[in-house]
Amino acid sequence: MAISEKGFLRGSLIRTTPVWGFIFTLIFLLVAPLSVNASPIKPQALSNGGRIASETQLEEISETVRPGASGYFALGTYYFPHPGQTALKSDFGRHEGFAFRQRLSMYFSGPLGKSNWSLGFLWWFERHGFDSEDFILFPEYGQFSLIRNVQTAGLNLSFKPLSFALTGGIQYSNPEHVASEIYSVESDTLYGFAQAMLGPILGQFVFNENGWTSVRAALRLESKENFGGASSGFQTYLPNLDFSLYHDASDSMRVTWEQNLFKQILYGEVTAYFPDYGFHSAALKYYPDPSRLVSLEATCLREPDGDLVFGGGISILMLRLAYNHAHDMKNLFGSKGTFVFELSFALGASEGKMFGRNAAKAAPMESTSRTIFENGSSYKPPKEESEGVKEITAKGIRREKAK
Amino acid sequence: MKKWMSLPSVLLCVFLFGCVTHYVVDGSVRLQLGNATENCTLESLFVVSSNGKELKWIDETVLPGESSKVEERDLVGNFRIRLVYEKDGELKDTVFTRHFDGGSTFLQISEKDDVLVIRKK
Repeated sequence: MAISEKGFLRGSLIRTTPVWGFIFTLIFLLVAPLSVNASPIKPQALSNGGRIASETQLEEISETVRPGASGYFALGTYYFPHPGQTALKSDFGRHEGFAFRQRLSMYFSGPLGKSNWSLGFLWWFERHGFDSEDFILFPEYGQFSLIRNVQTAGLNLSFKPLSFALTGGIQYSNPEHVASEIYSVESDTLYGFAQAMLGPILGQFVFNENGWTSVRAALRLESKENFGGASSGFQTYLPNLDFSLYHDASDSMRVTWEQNLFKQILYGEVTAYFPDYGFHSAALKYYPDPSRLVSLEATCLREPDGDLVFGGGISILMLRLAYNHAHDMKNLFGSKGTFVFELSFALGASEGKMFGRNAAKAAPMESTSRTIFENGSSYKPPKEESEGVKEITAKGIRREKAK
Repeated sequence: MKKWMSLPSVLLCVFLFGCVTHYVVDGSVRLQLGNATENCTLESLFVVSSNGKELKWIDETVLPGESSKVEERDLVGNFRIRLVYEKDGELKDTVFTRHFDGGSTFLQISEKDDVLVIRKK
């Protein structure tokens, strides 16, 4: 009877995460007080946060819930030591407090019997907003706070040979606490969504009681080894294009182009809104390892008034440090001028291999194999030796109790 | 990972996940007004917004020499304040901007050369 053991995630960068963690946290705690007069966030951006969170969740779902993927788990929370970093500017003045965004996402998929069909379950959760005190589990629900949670739950049916998947579910936006003095009134909203994938083509449709909310079509031509594609060659240099149409927005169409620039470790990304806005943001992302567990990013975001904001960030497995990063300016209510620290962890799995979200290749894994005989003794294959050494196999190994 | 790193790591995690900032920095202001004038009576204190909306903070008549009750609001930051007071039978008001740090705040209102002086004590 042979059992082989799989090893642990190898990679010096991953092993030294605790050291990087200390360094990051120290840097952050030292520089964070410098940004206590950062640009404040506005109540309107907080009110729009629900729609942005819904969109981000569906984007992540389309990246992770793919034929071949067996699971995905992600956790994330922002941490700000000083309330001046994410102050809120309302008509009353400048409120010091804490903007927050906590996320939990999971997807599990298993084969249906012996067929090539798999059934999966997904749940994405996010709680975000602004509160007078910082917290992990229990908000303060202050007098000028906005606290909202957005959840997406659904089922996925996939057929790997044809690279086909069908996903459907609901999305619920729940404003827990919205201070009426400074925010516009909002109510709970329930959306339904459906998504279909066939090879590189993706179609997604979101609707609620009032009709359709958004429609999305994506052409993911880049070949990724994690999802059954090639590991190198011209197919890995094809672009990933994304088109979204929105029903209730002034700029009704969004186009995103993601392009592998070098061996699936350097990517460029551009987003634009039409017909009026034009260029919205661009990013240059460098992943030292194609598993995307570590990344260095530089971004540029164009604000409504035409100003360009440059920023970037570094992410190492569980810790992320960023400044004026387009992702934070979009998902954290336009906060800029402050150092942002996020504890975030995202890991996808496929056929026993693990990788970061939307990665092309799996993280390097070390495996050792041992053969265990039925009588409890074990035999480990010897390391390769030079010629001339005779290999001896011991038989009839007997165990003796220690005295 | 060295063994000595485990205790600081645990402490760091507790620090971060307990989100202790609010144990050190107050998220709300407990305001009390003190009337140190001789002939003005404080009537009320409002937080004023740029579009005319007002939020009442202190709503109590404070005679000279007295102090108001303590009122708590989540108003840490910079705000425009309107203080309504009565002097010589006439109702007057003064508008000023003030930064509020969290915690207990005692604002003493006194008068000098016919002008109200507001000082934090």
